[in-house]
Amino acid sequence: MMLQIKNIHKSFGKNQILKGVDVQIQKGDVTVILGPSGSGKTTFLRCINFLERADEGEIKVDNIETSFNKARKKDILAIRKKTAFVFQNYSLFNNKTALGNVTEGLVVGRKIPKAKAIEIGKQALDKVGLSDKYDAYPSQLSGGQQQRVGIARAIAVNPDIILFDEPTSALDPELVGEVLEVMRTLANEGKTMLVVTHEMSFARDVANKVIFMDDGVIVEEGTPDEIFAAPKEVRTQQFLKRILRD
Amino acid sequence: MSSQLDFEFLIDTFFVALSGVPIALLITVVAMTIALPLGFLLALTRINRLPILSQFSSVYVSFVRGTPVIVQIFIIYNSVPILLEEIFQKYDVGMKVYDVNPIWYAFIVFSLNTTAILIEVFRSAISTVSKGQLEAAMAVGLTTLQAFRRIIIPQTLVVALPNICTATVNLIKATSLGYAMSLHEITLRAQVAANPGYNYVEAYIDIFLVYLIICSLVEFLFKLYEKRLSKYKLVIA
Amino acid sequence: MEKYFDASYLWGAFPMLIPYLKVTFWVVILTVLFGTLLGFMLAAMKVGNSKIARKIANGYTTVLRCTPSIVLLFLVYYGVPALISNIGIDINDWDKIFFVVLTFTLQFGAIMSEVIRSAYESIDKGQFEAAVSVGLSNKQAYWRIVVPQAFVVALPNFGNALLELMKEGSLAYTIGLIDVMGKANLIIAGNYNSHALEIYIAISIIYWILSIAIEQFFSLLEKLFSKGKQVIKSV
Repeated sequence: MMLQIKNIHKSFGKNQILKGVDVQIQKGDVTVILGPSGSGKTTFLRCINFLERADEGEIKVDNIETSFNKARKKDILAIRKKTAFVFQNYSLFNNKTALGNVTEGLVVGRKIPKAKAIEIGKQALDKVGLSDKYDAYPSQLSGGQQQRVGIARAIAVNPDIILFDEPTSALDPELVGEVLEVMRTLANEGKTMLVVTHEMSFARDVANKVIFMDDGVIVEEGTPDEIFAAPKEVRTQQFLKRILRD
Repeated sequence: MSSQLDFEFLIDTFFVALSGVPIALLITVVAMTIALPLGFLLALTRINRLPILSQFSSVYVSFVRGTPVIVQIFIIYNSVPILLEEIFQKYDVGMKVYDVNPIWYAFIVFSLNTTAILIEVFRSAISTVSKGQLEAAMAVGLTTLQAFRRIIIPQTLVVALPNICTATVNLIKATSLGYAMSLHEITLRAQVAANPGYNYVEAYIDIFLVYLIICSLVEFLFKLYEKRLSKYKLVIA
Repeated sequence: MEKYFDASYLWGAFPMLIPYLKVTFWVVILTVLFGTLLGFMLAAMKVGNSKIARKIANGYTTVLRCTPSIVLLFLVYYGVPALISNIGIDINDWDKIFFVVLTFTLQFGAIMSEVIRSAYESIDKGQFEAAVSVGLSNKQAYWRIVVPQAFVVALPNFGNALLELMKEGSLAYTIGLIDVMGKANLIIAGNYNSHALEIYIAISIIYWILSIAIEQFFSLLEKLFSKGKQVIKSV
């Protein structure tokens, strides 16, 4: 098992966002989390690599095991080295080139020698189709290109699992396709991915597991066929009806 | 030397210092009244690159912002009275230059100074109000004057307000330098009161408190006005 | 009768004044050093978690921004020795420059705390988050990603603060410091207070040139550090 979350709870002030969620991810799983806004799916994702600090619950990433409220700095850093995060707003380092963005985690985070890091970085950028943009700054790239750099940055560190937080939501429609294409390729290569998204085509065609969250809990989970063709819960049915109407 | 504060003196001198406040405020109001419209107009000449006026404004602003206020005060105080003297003699005005209240020199210096500051404030504020606003106003049939009065200027003011507040507070603080022109404002009055007993520390504490109170008040008033204006903005949005 | 305005006094003033720029520079450099340090401390207090620290830092900034330089100067010059004499030390004979630097450090620190704070807050949180997500420690994330970007944002405001400091520093003569402004007043006194206008025009030219030089220098710095950024130029 690659990732296991048990009984995670998280509140912001008086609002309880996560009300006890359990998730298990196997190696090679491509899991999509669906749900209406406010359901807690982004918060859930951000808790995994400790961008938000959950109030209670347990997490196990490969061989690192700890609880959310008692996790030490060492554990957090170790978990972050095993995971990678792709942000909705790309969050590329504005003061570094595309190549610089990709190598930062390698050189500084993992103490890999610069020459080797550059080699890995270039391979990652090639993989996402940006071989001609090594030295471009984020401000010189389109949204789709920036997000692809974000993905390259995530795969360069060779994580056990890649976390995607609505990777295409901030993109113009024409640019969504190129990013989904990259994600499809990664999935086909057997990368373990946990994706929060509204892109139903990706969920249907690429994912092997779909989780539907609402109001801080998991309502239903299953294979794409099970969820899309025969949802069991009423809430799931209502949500899908609304989304798939377009 | 004992350093016990003379509290009686402290309290008395506070009111002496306070008595200089009207003068400081008068100078501020006069300077702002002149500088706001003048600064706005000259800012426009810079934006529209009117020949001569634009370059003149540029040099003028550069000089005022590049030299200390006290130097500007000294220059005006050492030149204007002489000019005035010549004018008085030429036109046989019965007044002696010595009788001219230094507050007139203060008006001149601070108006010139604040105008330059506001030219820059308005220049950046106007450029943030998009050109499309003027074009749209013209398109619905407003004259240029109407467009400015009803559309451009109100929006410019909202953007410029924080900087105008800063300029006002700085102006009030700058009036403290009026003592160099023998202007009986806050600082000079309290200093004079302090001389007999060498109660300088108490005097300056009082002066400090008076400025603190006025400036805080002015900032508070500006914040209130800003809130009122942005309420108006939200409604429109 | 002697001419009122004698240009020879103007030109003659420059060689007398320029050597004293050294004092002015020292005041500025020392103030920037200590003031920026103070500014960092205050900024840290303002963005930190302690409510009390925040209130203190903000209160300090407000008080200092509402105080005219000359009042602060006198307060420090007369007040600090009086305060310290309470613990038995007499600092009345200390060099004037100490009081000048102390005064303007207090003032510059307040201004810098705002410059640093707003620059820091203008950097999107996502930058820090992305950095820690690829495995950087908090410290590494701040120093390698956030600080370099905040520095560029802070640069123009720092330049303005520096210019203001240089100009406000001209008031140091009022407590007897003989910097370039103090020398100007000495020259005028030496001329029995005549030909003051020429001297003041001369010193205004000196300050003007210095200001333009500093402005140009910072423009250059901004261009240098903005490589790779799309600069939004207003009209």
